[in-house]
Amino acid sequence: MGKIVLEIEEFAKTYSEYKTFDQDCIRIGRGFDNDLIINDPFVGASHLSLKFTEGAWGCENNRSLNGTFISSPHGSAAKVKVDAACPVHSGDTLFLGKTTIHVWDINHPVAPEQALEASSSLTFDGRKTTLNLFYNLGVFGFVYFLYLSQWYWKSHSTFVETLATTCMVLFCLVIWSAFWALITRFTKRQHRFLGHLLFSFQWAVISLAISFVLKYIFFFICNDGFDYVASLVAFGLFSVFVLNNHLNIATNLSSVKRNMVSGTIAISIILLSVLGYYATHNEFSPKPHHYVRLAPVAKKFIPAIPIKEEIKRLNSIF
Amino acid sequence: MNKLVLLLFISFLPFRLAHAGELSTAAEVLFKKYSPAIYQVQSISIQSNKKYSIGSGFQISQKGYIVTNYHVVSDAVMFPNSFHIQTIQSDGKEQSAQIITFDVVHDLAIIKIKAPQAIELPLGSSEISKGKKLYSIGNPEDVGMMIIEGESNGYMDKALYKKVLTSLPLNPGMSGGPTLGEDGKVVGINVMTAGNSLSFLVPVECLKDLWKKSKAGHFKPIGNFADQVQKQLISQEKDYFTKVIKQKWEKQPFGRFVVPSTISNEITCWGEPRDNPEYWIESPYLQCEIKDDLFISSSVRAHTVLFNYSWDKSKSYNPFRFYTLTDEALKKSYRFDLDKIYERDAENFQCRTDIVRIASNPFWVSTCARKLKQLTRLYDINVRMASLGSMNTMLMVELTLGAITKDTSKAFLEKFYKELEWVK
Repeated sequence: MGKIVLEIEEFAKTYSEYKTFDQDCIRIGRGFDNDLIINDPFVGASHLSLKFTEGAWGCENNRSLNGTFISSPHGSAAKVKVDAACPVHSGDTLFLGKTTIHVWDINHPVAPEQALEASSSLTFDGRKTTLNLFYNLGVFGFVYFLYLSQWYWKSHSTFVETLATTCMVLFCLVIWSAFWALITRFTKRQHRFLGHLLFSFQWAVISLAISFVLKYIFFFICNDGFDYVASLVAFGLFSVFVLNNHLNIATNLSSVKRNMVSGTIAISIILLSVLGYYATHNEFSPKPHHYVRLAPVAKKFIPAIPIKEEIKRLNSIF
Repeated sequence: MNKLVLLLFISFLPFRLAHAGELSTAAEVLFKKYSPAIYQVQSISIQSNKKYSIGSGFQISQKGYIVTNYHVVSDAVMFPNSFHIQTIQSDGKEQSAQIITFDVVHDLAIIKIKAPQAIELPLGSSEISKGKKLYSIGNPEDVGMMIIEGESNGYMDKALYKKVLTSLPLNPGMSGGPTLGEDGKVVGINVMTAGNSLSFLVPVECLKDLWKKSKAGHFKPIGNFADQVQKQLISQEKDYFTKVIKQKWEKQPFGRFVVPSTISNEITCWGEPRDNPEYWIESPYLQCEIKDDLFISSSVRAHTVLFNYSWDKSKSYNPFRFYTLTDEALKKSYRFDLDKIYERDAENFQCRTDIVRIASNPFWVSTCARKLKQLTRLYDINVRMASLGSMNTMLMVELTLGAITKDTSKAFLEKFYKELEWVK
């Protein structure tokens, strides 16, 4: 008889569960007759068996729609599909639907114990994730603070004001994640707040960079006025991506359905903005700066034209 | 024009106290003799049937021709469907008037009434020596007909259009009223004031020219008013701007550039040392403008020329932050003067932005133009430029041209760009 530990990671759950088995055959699946029951709609009712024969563990794939994949740190570490049967070693990872299972021998070595003073209060169960969260929070906060203080912050603002604005943005992300956690609570009976928050932080950093690049790309490729439409399209694509990922954590919808939901939301927002634009763009303003778009940094990309050429081009505004 | 106040009294202006000078016996005689030939000229809003603005006028022919300022009747000229002109005699009799002709450039108009008085004012000459007594009759602020006294002070310096300078305490509502010499002949027509006893008259010679032209046309009322305004403006523009563009421009060093300043005699410049310790170490400011822009209607001005410069030197910010501040400064610090315009007057601005090589520096140049709705060949132009060559200094320029043709504005801009110089 072989003793084995299975570490189960459900999708976007911010901590793992450990279960020890002391038997020769472990049946894994969604059905209630299994030894390990997994609540994942992408896992088969009787998905997989782990069997102990001749002093070694092996894995047998039963008939399941999505199949099982294995990745072994001893071998190529790439995900390999399990066809019928294959050996399983301590440290291997199995992928079933959206669930991940790490297989550990009970004698698998663990990292040495850390001294209490050296570690922070974060070293409770699931320490990896929590550290990850604070790390992400710190990175985003720092990037945003730099962005405000060195680059974008327009008025003359003090250190405290800039810091307060950064905190406000972080707080907005917390509220946003809480909203999604509430939805997840209804759909999966688990809030998965930290999962949403992590995802939000990562995307906030990326979107900051994207928005900054887009501002200048649009000025470069589009002339006055068109950048409004272009930024709407970019916003649409981005929101499809973000909504899609939040839905992925919060629901068990298939990717087609998620795309439909997030696409519909994004397109509605874009349509409303376009309607708003057309409802107001004819508005008369006696001030020229109402109609001017500018981005001085774009001069890096645009070669200066001679005066004669500029005078010729002015025909387009008369 | 912003430092001068036209003597047009628009009904929603707050009431201000008028004061009359001490009257001499000569004034008494003149008032008795000529006040029946002085009228109050009202611009009546057709919708509400009440006066929108008031001025004065005087009869120069017993056939009923009355002289007033163009700006008094401008609403009826530009919006004939919304306003008509009405005159009130000193005895209170009202009658409607027809516009015969006008001169936008010299701010004169001739209107006609059907039942005139049997009296006319003789025209004299504006060539009178400084210190001679002048008398003006009119109805200031709608309080009643009165006569005031002052001295002639010759012609105004730096005026694009000849004007007589007087010490008459003119008040709004006296626009278009006559100013008489001691001999009782008209010297000029009241047009505007710059405050305490500093007033300007249109020389009577301009009126004589207009009268001669009108007489040659048998006093036939001119056709489409707006077209006529446009024609007069374009002909004046040809005279003035062609001359300005051809002549040598006076320049002065400003920051690391040499910039055009008093490009013609009529342009005055003002300087300002400015410090904005939040962003900049220094940012001196220079503004040049033409004082004599032309009044077209209560919201539209023509032949405005206004340009200003600021040389901004930043604190030791990194280049990104410097550009963000530049961006903000460019967006916020517009000094565009022609923004009292309504949708009835002009279309929306059309803008374009280019990076242009001017004075061996890349300049961000944003040019905006809007077409005037009544004067379809004329445009208001606003140009914003900023030098992008340096990481911590920037020359910002704003140039405004009011009601000007496309070709003239392009020629002016080309000359302006070429005149900017970089000091190595």
